[in-house]
Amino acid sequence: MKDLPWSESPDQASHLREHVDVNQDPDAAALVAALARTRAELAAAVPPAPPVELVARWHAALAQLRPVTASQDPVEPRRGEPTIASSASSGARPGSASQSGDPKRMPNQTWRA
Amino acid sequence: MAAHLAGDPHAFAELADRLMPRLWLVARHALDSQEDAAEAVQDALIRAHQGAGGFRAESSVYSWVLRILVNICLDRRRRNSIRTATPLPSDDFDELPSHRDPIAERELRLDVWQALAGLPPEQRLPIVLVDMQGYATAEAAALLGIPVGTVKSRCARGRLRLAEQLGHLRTLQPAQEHR
Repeated sequence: MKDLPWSESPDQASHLREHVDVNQDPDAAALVAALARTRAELAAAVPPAPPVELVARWHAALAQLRPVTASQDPVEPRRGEPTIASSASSGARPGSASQSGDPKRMPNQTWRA
Repeated sequence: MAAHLAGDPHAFAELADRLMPRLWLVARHALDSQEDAAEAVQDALIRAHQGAGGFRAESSVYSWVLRILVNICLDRRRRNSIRTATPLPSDDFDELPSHRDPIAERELRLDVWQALAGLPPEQRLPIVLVDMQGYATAEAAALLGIPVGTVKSRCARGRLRLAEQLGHLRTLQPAQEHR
């Protein structure tokens, strides 16, 4: 097996194809096949249904909410951007992103270990 | 979503019902406790319900709610890491078996899910988004707020580790370096 810079390769399989002749290196070919099989299994895996008690709990929480209409939209749309609700800009509260649920206006956060 | 905004009292519940399994999948792999994940999904659905008027049709409803959920999960992870330095056991993935799938598929899924649960959380979520939910790496990077290259490298390392855990690399000797 050749020494490959795993930590710098964004995708081992494509890296291998580009830099290693898999026909000449059985280990590389096996690794490409293993990664492809892994991705195929991930793609084919059926997500488990959430527990029924949680589904019931979520629905119960939603049922307690007041109906929302377009005129109650708390999120200020960006200029020129279409929204489903034509009256979306009315009632907007700038700066209320953390409460509004608008993901584009949520604080910057990064996924770090 | 349009029906919800038009005042249909049942529309959002129906929409949420369709989104719940995928949201649950993400939350479950973004957070280490089932209760945290359950609360995150609930918070995301509530925020989506309340902020529905801000939904722009430039993305799917699922992507929109997913982004809300990911932000909530990141917030929770950050809070949890500040509050306590406890280790991160994948405490209870025992709900994974489902009655609706054939035995063979269930066995495959248990393997995949168990292997996935063994990954570090920072590798798990990119793999769920890219390899299981079909997001492009750039989209996953935007969702997670990290560079595209980071998503790619985390996915690559995670896949390699999964391949080992799933037994697909048994023929290779010695084990590949993947850290």
